[in-house]
Amino acid sequence: MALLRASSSALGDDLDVAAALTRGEGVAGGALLREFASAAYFDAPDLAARRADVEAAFGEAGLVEACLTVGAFSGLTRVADATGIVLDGGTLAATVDLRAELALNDMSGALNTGAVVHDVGAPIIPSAVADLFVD
Amino acid sequence: MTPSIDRGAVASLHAHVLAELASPGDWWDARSRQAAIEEARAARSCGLCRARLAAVSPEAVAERHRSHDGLSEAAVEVIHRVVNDPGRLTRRWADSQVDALGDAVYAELVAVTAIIVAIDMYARSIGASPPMLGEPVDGPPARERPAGLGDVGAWIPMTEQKALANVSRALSLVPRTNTTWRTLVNDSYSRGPQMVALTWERALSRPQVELIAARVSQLNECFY
Repeated sequence: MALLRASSSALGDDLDVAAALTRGEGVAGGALLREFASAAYFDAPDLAARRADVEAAFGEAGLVEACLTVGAFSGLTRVADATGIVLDGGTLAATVDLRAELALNDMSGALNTGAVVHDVGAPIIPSAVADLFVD
Repeated sequence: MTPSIDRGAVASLHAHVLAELASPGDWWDARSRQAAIEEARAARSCGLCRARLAAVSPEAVAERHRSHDGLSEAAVEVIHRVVNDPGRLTRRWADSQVDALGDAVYAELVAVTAIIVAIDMYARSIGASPPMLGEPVDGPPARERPAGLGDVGAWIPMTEQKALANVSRALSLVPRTNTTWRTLVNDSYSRGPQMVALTWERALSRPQVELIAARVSQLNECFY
């Protein structure tokens, strides 16, 4: 989420992350990609159709990248949740608004990071990816 | 445009990763690791997991996973929860499994399970069958606990050296399996120095990749 906003910002886009997450808005082909990820997660009956949509829009290479991302984050989320890692300080600061707006602080995994997830204020959007991971 | 990884390269990557999993690990031998992989695949049709998912809390269902195929009750529990209900794991639950298995075996089980979930989710997404497992390679596990581990605020010890994101050191307790895991993540997503670049020259832009990543994380109810 922090990288979605930061990478959109690097392209000059002021992304509405909630709209992107809920409808795919603000990212080129975002609705197709979001629907494809959802269909893959649920192993939905329309997965083949969503896959064909992604391949038609982004080509074979784009489809492979999309599938690799679905796979990698299906694993990464499990490693994060099963090891109880704390959210990195830079990411915490960069998502203070989004976590409140999207009620992410109510997730079970938020307990690992502790009471600081409920801090309020303006987000600090980093100019470099590495800044997201500084504590 | 930087060439994106193609289907053939992904098949080679996954074959390499599966060969590593068919070799002796950090604390488990190859046959035990393969039993864990097969359990992870079988977990997707587990009736008990389905009942727990439908309950307000996994603890609301009294039935427990049973030991079988050489896997202890705790090992089966870890595999099934990590596959089917990772968003509701708690410190209390993890402490209980670590007490039963040891922290390093717990970490290795989490790693092996996450790897097979990642590979099989790729297969599902692209419309292929999950790849076959290789023949287990005989030999003892490494049984080496790395130096420099500490309490960094997570549920298990990790390296105190923070190179980038916390998730990148989450499995440092089991270095052999962690190398396999990180190879998979690097080639699938981060690709070395590209990780710190905000713009990518791949077939999908970085925002497009990150939108998929965020959606998958949201569906898995992952706060991190």
